[in-house]
Amino acid sequence: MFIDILAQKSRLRRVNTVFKICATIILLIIAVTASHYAVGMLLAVLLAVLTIAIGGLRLREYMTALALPLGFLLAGSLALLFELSPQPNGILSVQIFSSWLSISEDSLARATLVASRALGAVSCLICLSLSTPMPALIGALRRMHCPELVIDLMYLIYRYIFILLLIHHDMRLAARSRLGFRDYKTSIRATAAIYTNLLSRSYLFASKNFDAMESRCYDTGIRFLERK
Amino acid sequence: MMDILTLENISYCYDDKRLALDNVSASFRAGERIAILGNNGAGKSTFFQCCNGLLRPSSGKIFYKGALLGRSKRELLALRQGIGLVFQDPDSQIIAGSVESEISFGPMNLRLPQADVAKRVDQALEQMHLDGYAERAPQYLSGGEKKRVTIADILAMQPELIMLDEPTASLDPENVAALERTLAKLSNQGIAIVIATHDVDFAYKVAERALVFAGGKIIADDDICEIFAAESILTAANLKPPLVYEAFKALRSKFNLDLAMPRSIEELCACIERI
Ligand SMILES: Nc1ncnc2c1ncn2[C@@H]1O[C@H](COP(=O)(O)OP(=O)(O)OP(=O)(O)O)[C@@H](O)[C@H]1O
Ligand SMILES: [Mg+2]
Repeated sequence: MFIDILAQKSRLRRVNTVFKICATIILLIIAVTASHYAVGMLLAVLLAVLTIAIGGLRLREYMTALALPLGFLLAGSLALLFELSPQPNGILSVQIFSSWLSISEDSLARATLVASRALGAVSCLICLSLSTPMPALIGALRRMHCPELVIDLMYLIYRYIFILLLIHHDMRLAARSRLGFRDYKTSIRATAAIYTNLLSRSYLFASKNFDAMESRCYDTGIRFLERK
Repeated sequence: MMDILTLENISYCYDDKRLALDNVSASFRAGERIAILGNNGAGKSTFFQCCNGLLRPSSGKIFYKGALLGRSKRELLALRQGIGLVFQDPDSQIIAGSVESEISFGPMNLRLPQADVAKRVDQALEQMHLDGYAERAPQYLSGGEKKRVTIADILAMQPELIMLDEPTASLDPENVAALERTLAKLSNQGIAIVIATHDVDFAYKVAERALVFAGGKIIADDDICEIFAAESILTAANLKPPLVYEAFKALRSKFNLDLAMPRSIEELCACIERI
């Protein structure tokens, strides 16, 4: 939950969340409708500077958060870059059996535009998630009149991600400390046991958790204090 | 004084084979401090959940402030507002993404105005020595810190009776001492305190009365000094008397003392001074 930890320590955390959501949506629209590749590039640089310089994150942390979406993005644009044609054309061509795999000016322009749009959009979302802890985001969605049920589910899912990760982590450590992963066979067996256990534990956990909510007079709608 | 909570012949079983609670009766008055003692699996947590209306006893009656508890949601809500329960495992109690919102969950459910909720949250944070933790995320807290958050959760609801399941299990000595002070203060305000614990020294210091559970039954309900004096109860429940109690007993038989039984190390030292 790397992103969560970064969001908790960002200095942009205190900026009004509804404002951040609206700004993100507007920038997102600008990014995906841009007709020039410079727009996406500019957005990516600006938002990175914002998150790092004002938010106070490290460049390495920002790049780690961006690495995964960036990987997908590059793989996707590579596919757009090449086109299959019967004769060689464009800037670069490679023969494959009887046809040619080539990069034309057209496909180059298209690939850069799509990549830069996607880069801009991803930067918007990463910037939001690195500056806003999840609970604040959910609270803002409630104020923006998102349905009650969806909000409750979001709170619970957020909490449960950590619980399940924690239980999973602890069980793995416990299995390892008892030499549960010493070779291939025991690893398979330990992993199976851990996941079976995780399932039954999470059932039990959910019912315990609901009891605890009821014991604190939970009726309908999860509500927390939101200070100005 | 009127009883806050009375249980009459309560039984409960999780599965059909064995009774987890077997015909249990007890009652709690305002301002009382009661320890619940007993082995692992004796039925203490089950008892708490019945008192809070989370488990429905298979037989028996519960009276809240003299009125028989029914099945309606309104009655259950009233019961849970008056009787706060701190769970044994903090992780099964915590649901929010920050300490402050976690503590505000109960008061918000009482439908109090924002300003009151904020005041109660601040007060509870201070009582549990959690100043500065308000914005921390519970998933990154230590075991003892989580335990303190769950106690603050219930303090913020200002119940008339607080049930704590193993409150000292993961606390350091300083926080145990702070908890003792908080509980004493609450008890002076007329709030009843019920503590399930394996820490007999803590129980002896904090409580005046004790219920002893064994195999789902209450085998003793008496002044805590009387309980530790009764050899048969101690063996039946595998209990060991507190250190202060044992030490004073040894001193008393040696020096023929006529002093009141000390409750804490400090009081014991004072007794030794007077010999
Ligand atoms: N969810 C459950 N399903 C089935 N049996 C249960 C469940 N919870 C508890 N029990 C059984 O009920 C009995 C009483 O359990 P309980 O949790 O009340 O004990 P306890 O006195 O709180 O013990 P501890 O000191 O270990 O917390 C135990 O024998 C236990 O095995
Ligand atoms: Mg228990």
